[in-house]
Amino acid sequence: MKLRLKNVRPLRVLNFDCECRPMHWYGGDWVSKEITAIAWAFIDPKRPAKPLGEVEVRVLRLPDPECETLADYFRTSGMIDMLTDFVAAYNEADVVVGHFVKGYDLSTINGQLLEAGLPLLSNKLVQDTKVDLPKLQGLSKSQENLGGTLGLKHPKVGMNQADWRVANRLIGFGVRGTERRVVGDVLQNIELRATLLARGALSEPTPWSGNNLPEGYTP
Amino acid sequence: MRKRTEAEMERAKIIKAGRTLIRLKHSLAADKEINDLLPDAVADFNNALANGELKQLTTGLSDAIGEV
Repeated sequence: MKLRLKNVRPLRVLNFDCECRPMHWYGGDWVSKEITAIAWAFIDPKRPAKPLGEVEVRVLRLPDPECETLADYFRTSGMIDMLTDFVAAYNEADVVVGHFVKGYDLSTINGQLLEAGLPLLSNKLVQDTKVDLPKLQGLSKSQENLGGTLGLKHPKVGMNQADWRVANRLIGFGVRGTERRVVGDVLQNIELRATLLARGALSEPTPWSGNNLPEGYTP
Repeated sequence: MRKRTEAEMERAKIIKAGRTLIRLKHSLAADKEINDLLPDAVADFNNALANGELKQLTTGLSDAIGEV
């Protein structure tokens, strides 16, 4: 007897990335964070190194300075729109992909959803271009360095300290820098995933649940 | 409750041990067949999943035991 499989359908694979700014110190150099931008794109199932259409991006804006409540702040800064638009795409996806999203982005977005009073992320299959690599040693697993190692066409959009300080003040040219960075990360990660898959160097997606208790204490 | 005779106990032993040994023989053979087939099928599924494609098992009961 043979166990035969047939293709059923292409999966809706969503690539995404988020950027944050520090908010307050809670011990040593640890800071709490706030999301300043999210970018996402579905991957073209026929051309896995390309997005299906344009990369969507939403950024945090300067809020109404007369805000009387945190709800006003989240609404007037565009935070609510940014989160709800992303979650709509997330809910459409069969699989979500990104770099270190299992270790950072998904739980950071969940934290922001909690603070903004929105429903948390649902369970999802997640493929992480850092966490789901084979066992590697002697090489950096940062997206930028993997991109260099693998000769990707899309570069990492560089941001130095001065760029981030401007960007995190949410002023026009700074916000545009954040947009370029987060969109660039999505485009580079789509190409990174396709290249890793072609090299047999990326595992299948595994279930992610925002309801899991943390494995270790984090203050 | 009536106690069974020695002959009745020996006959019951043959039936119980025989059934168990035959089932064990087929169970061990099944373990080998599962080990031969299942990892490849799951790897095929996982590889498709990694590449953004959903696959489905088409082998059915009739492939295993014939038409019923």
